[in-house]
Amino acid sequence: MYSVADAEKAHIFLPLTMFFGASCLTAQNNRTTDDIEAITGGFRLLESNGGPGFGGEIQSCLEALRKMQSFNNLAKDHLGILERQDFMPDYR
Amino acid sequence: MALSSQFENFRDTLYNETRQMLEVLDLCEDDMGVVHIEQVQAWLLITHYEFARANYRRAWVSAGRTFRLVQLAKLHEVDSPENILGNEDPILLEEKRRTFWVAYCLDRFICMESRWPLTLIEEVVRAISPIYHTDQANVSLQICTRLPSPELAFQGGHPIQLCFLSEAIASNDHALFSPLAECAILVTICGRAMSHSQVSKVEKAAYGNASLDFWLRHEWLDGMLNKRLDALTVTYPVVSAVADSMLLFAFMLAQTTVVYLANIIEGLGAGTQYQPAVAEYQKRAMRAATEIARLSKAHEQIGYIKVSNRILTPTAPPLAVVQRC
Repeated sequence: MYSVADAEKAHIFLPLTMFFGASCLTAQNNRTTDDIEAITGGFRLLESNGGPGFGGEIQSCLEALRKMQSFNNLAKDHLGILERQDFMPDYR
Repeated sequence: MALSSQFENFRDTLYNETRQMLEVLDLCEDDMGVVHIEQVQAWLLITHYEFARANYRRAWVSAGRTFRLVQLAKLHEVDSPENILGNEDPILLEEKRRTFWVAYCLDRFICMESRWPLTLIEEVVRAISPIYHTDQANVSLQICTRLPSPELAFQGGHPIQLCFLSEAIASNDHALFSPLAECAILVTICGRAMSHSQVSKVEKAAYGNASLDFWLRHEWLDGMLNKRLDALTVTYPVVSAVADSMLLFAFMLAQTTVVYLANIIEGLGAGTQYQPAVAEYQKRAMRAATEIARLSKAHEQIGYIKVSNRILTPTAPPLAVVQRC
């Protein structure tokens, strides 16, 4: 469906957008019910189509970053942060 | 070229030689008024290459050098009234515009990455002549370089003149722009969101809560972003966005900004009276992040066997041009 030439044109800062997406989903996955209650007052947030949690979506971002890291240091750097055990999205 | 996989063996040589040539140029030139457009373009290429292949610090320093050259070449005022003489080659003019917008976007991407301040700001205070610098009538407060022409028109040698960034931002219609212009508009919204975030932190420290101004700014940014997202979605089906790297990036940048706006609210720790709004922004952020993941998957499934990345610089000069400078 897509040619190799299409992939060759990947924007160099594409990993940044993937990082933002994965961070947001990770933050949501890490939230307890109490956290959500405190932030939103109990309003229901979106749930993944693939069941509870956003593991599948996060993996999609990580896989894309893994493939890009061999030729893009920004992908490598962001992947390194996301894969840290103690990774905590920072909004402040 | 140095980033393409088929030139992997020449990569370092190309990079080192280009960089050396540029360093020599900097040593030779002592005239503040002369900056060749190819010199700026070459520095842009070097910067992109360093972000991808060298270390971040070196890339960041090169970016700063590029931005100074952009300012020295006055690429932010290509279409200012006193610069329009009517006899300049329209292709060269468009090349200058595109070089400016690539640098402008790069500045904001770096800011998003590192949260460092911008260099190429939107509010350009420009006196027509130094002797008139106190005359308000002669001062412009905006970037005087039109948004880049659609790619096909430029490649065909007949670039189309688009509006200015400030007009595109102020406009209420869902005008269609080239992917590069769309990126410039989206990254501007994102840049303003970053500034909004900084101001809101100061306000929170001063007043202890979100001010009315905070919500006005936030809703304005959100409205602007939704307008661009609607225009993108209506105009470009997602499949073509994946086939076109710049469009794919524009889509992902727009979704990233949705996430960023939700992060600003969450970081603010708004009081209970704002919880419905916070929940709504969070819901949209989740949807945007899910869309980023979906687009990442589509991108990841593109064949990577021979893949390397190529920077998105529509004005990339051949090495011979750099050598001529």
